[in-house]
Order: sequence, then structure tokens, then C-alpha cells
Amino acid sequence: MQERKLAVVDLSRGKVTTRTIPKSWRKGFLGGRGINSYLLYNLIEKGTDPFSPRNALVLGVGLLGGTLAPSSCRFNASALSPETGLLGDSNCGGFFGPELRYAGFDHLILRGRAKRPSYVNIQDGEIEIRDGREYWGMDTYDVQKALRKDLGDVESLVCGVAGENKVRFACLRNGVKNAAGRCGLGAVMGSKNVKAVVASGTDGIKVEHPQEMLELVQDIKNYLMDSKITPILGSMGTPLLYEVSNAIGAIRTKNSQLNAWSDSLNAEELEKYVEKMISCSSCFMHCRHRNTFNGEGPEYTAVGLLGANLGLEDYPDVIKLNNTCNELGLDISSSGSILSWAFELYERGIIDKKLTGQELRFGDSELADELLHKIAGREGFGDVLAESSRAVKKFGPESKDYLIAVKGLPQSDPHDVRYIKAFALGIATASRGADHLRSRPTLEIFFRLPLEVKEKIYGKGITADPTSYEGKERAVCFSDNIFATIDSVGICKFICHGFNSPHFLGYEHFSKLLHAVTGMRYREKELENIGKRIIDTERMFNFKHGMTAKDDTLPKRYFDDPMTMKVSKGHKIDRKSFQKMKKRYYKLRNWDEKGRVKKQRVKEIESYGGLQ
Amino acid sequence: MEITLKFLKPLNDVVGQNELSVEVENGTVESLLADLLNDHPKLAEEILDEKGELDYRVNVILNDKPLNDLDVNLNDGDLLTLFIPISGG
Repeated sequence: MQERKLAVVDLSRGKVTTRTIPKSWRKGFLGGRGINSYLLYNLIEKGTDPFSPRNALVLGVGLLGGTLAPSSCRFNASALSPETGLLGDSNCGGFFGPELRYAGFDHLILRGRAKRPSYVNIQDGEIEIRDGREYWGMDTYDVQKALRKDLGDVESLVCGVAGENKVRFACLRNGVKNAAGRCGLGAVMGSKNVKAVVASGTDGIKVEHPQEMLELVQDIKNYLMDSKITPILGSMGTPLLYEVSNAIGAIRTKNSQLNAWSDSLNAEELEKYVEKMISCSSCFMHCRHRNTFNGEGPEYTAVGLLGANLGLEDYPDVIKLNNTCNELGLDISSSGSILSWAFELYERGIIDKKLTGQELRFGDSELADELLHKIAGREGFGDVLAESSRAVKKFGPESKDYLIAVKGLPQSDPHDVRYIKAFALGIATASRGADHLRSRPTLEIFFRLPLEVKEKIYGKGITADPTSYEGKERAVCFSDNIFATIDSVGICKFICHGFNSPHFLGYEHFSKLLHAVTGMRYREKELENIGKRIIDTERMFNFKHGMTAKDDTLPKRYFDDPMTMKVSKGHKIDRKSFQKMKKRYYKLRNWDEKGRVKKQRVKEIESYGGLQ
Repeated sequence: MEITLKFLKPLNDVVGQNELSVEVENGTVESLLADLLNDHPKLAEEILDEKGELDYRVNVILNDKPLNDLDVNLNDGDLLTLFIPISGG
């Protein structure tokens, strides 16, 4: 296998060191999320403030990143999260990840803090910390345009104004919409006085077996194009999910006070505002919209959380808010969740004008847009909202009862998980908090999926009924593992097994692609075990930073309030059944009764060695 | 009796309508779908598997109840919703 490099950029000292990524790390963690999580576990000391120079921002491209492998555009950004104080990790598409590899690096660690606003320039194996003062204060669109004007055909990963102001849910952006959105990683970049990491390279990625790779990619492409799901994603993208969730009464509405909303946000309404469908690097799926308001998106998450959750019914309003978040560098999931939380608190009289400075209400897009700008600038009440779930300190303890978050991370997607119990366990135990992209067994939404198919995927003991608690730990455990592997090979989940179709790419395909690209043999079981190891490493990181089993829980509303509309009517999460399911999940993961990774496993994982 | 069929995307594009109202004397969901597919052969291509059975990826909701078994009697005023769920973020 070609030797690939990792660089450590010490922003405080202005020094850069590089090293070859050990083969043992590749065998243990692949790349991308896997190696990032391992590095974080080794690098971040207990008690570190996420905004201190002692935090590290780690960027890591998947091991297939930038090759011909379908949708192999993904990289992860990772740090101690300023939003949760636990694992901050976010997977991102676009073009930056491949370009970072072409520039000569698979992983990049930013440590310390630059003395003045800077950017990190990476070009054909050389890394330089440069003066970035002229770019400071620019939004995410303008800074990327300016960097291209000044440096040529580069790809940049930037923080917006929100990141500069250390908004705890500021994201990292590449292009118009690609985001390492979750956990406030844009704020970590901003706290380091870094506006952008810029990459350009001409090296390409050496492929060990080119002919094998060409044949394999063609076969996989033909295979995926035969699927019924592919053209749906390619023509409508994820907004289609809005009407799916809405049809079963599982769309988070007005901070989950309701569970269904207007058909005016159905995908066919969005088509009026779509210029064309576009794609990330190496992708033939083309699942994203370029909208007629000079932006990209919205995804399903934006439709739900900036639409139904804010009580908005019109696509132009939703698209404009989506574009605002993208420009300012705000995570859409947290933005929509935090705004709706504040709106409900105001309606209930838990907060008032003394704190907010103005009336808050659902269904007012201008108000929402104004507040997003205030958040990004940390102006007035925006400064309180910029604290994300930590605003409980200002709002008072009662406010926590209405917060739709787990481990301090507002729920990522618009799906109300009270109906499908495996979804509930997934967001309760996901390593970065309430998030569907870490472990959601989405096949549970295929209500007619035969039990024998489920058993084949998840193992005996799984039940067919999505509302049952029995055996659902198997579905979550399977998804944990394969999603961690997917994030580490660097392929988009949309074309992978367990997320959209059981017939999409799985361990068998990854094994073949990894052999063609790296020459290394990874058996299918070995790849699953790597996924398990990554999950354990992330668990070790979280427990090191203060997490306990009590944090594997759900928003109070999901336990206490039954849903009131459509198919989901009457459903909520039963506490006892949930606790039993969680215990079974711990057992299946081979964690102890307190949800901790066992000592022998810790020893095994630590034996891969640190950076020194 | 009158039954309303609702199709989410992309099935509505195939049928050409979001909703259809049909008159049936009696019958089950299964028999109604068989009649529907006779009238809309393109829909059959979308929702039947290689064995000619309704693909498991198609969700069928009768009023507010998801169906596994399609041998369920229909009643006047029933709403039958058909859709293919996909996932994403």
C-alpha cells in the first residue's frame, strides 16, 4: 500500500510536522472517522475546555477518498465538541476531502491557537500557516470565492461568522452547502483563529490494482443504477423524506408538540424552486438541489427543522432560512431545534421579553432569520441561543423538559422517534448525541420488510413490528458498526447497506474496493470488527470526558407525551421498556452494566499507540 | 363504497395523480391493488418485485394503520396510502 501522510499543525508555535500513517492504524481503524476518533482519544486530555488551545481539530479523509469508488468524497472533522463537551465528529461530502488527499495528506491535526486570524494552506505536500486577516469576517460563500480568486483552483474548508464568534453549533463548510455540520466544529476552528484550511494538489491517489478497480467500479455502478431507490434519490433528493415521515405522523412539529404538518412542504412543491440537481465528488447519485434563491438545498433536515418545527408552511421561507444558515456557517439541525425550543418556552411563559428582548412566535420566518443573524453575531438574545442546549443555564431548569436533545446535542433530523423504537435507541446511544447518521436502522421504516430478511441482516431475535422494543438493540448495534466503517472508508451512506436499502453497498463491496485501491486484504468480518472498535474508541473518549450511562437517554417529552396524530397516535417511549432495551444493547456491545468499555478491550485499543 | 388511494412521490408521477377515488362493491386491499395495477401497468413495474408480488419496499397504510397482510377488508371511506420510504439527512 502506498504510504500516506498525517500532518500536525501547531498553530501556537507555527510549526508543522508530518509522519506516515502506520499500517497498524489502517488495519485497526481504516481512515476518516476511525483514525480521527482514535487520535482524539489519544490527544485530548480530560478536563480540556473545547475552546482552549489544548483542543485539537482533526480532519481525516476516508481510505477510499478521492478514488473512483462511488461517492467516495467523504471526510470527517472531529474535536472535543463545544456543544456537548463530548465527542464532536461530523462527516462531510463535497470536494474538500479528495483535494486534501491530492495535496498529499489523509489526516490533519490542528493544535494550539494562532496569534492572529490565519488560514492553513496545503499545496502538493507543503503546509503553510498564512495571515488570514483579510478573510476574517467574511461569510462562508465570500471567503471561498476570495480564496479562489487569490489562490486559484483550491478547495477550502471554512468557518463562517458563526464559527469566528464561537457559536456552539457553528459548522464547517466546503462549497455552498457541504457541511461538517454537527457538534460545533466551526467554533473550534474559529477558536483557533483559523478561518480556513485550503487544499490543492496534483498528486492523485495511487491505486494498487487499476484494472481490478475499473471493472469493480463499473459493476457497482451498474448494480446501484438498477435499484429503484437510486433514481428517486437522484431526482428528488432527501426532501422526499418529509412526506414519508409526515405520512406516518412522525415529523417533528413546533418543537415536537405536534407530529404532523402541512403537505405544502412535500417534495413536489420544492420542484418549483429547483434549478438543477448536482453532486459531490465521485458521485453519480446527484441528490442535492441547487435552488432558485442562489443557494443549495434544502435537505430533508432543513425542510423539517426550519419548516414544520418552526411552524412554517411555505418553501420560499424554508429555502431562505436554509441559505442563511449556510452563509453564516450554522448547523441547520441545531439552529432549527434551538429556535423552536425558545419559541415554545416563550409561549409557555418560561422565558419572557426581559431575556429575549422581543416577542417570539412560531410561523414567523422573518423573526427566525433575524434570530439566526443574531446568533451568528452573538448579538443580544442571539448570544444566549448561541450557547445551544447550554442555554438551560439562562432559561432555568424547567426549560430542560422541552429540549429535544441527547447528551446536549439537539436532535439532528426531523423524524420524531416515539413511534419506531429502534430509532429511539439509536439517538439515545449514538456517540455524538441525538443523531440519525450514527446508528439509525432506517430499514425499520420499511414496514413490510419480511422478518427473515431482518433476521438475516440483524440476527435472530429482531422483531418485525417497528413499534416493538424486542430485539431492536440488534438493529442499532448492526447500524453502529457499519456506519462507523462507512465513515472510515469515506463513502456516502446514501449508497450503503443499512441506510437506504439492504441491497446497497456493504462489507463485501468495501472489502473488494479496499483491495483494489490499497492492495490490503480486509475480510468482511474484519471490517465489521473495525466498526465495533471505532464505536468502542468513541465510547472510551466520551467516558474519559465525563459521560455516564445516564446520558444514554431521550428527551423527556419522548417519554411523557404520546403523539397525537396519524399512524403514530398514542405512541411514546415507555421508560421501563427503554431501559431494558438499553441494557440488552450494552450486553450486545460487550460493555459492562454501566455502559463502559471493558478493561481488556481498552487495553487492546490503546495498544495501537499514540502519535509520539 | 368509495375508497381513496393516495400516492406519495414518485408513485404519484407514475399514476399521474396524487389521489384517486375508486368505487368498489366490496373487497380487500389486495383485490383493490390488483385492480389498480391492471389499470396502471406502469405502476406495476414500480411496485411489484420480480416474483410479481408487492415489493417489500412499498409501505401500505390503511387509514392510520400500516399493513403487512394485505388480505384486509375495505370499508366505505377508507384511505389507502402507498409510498416508498427512503432515508437521508
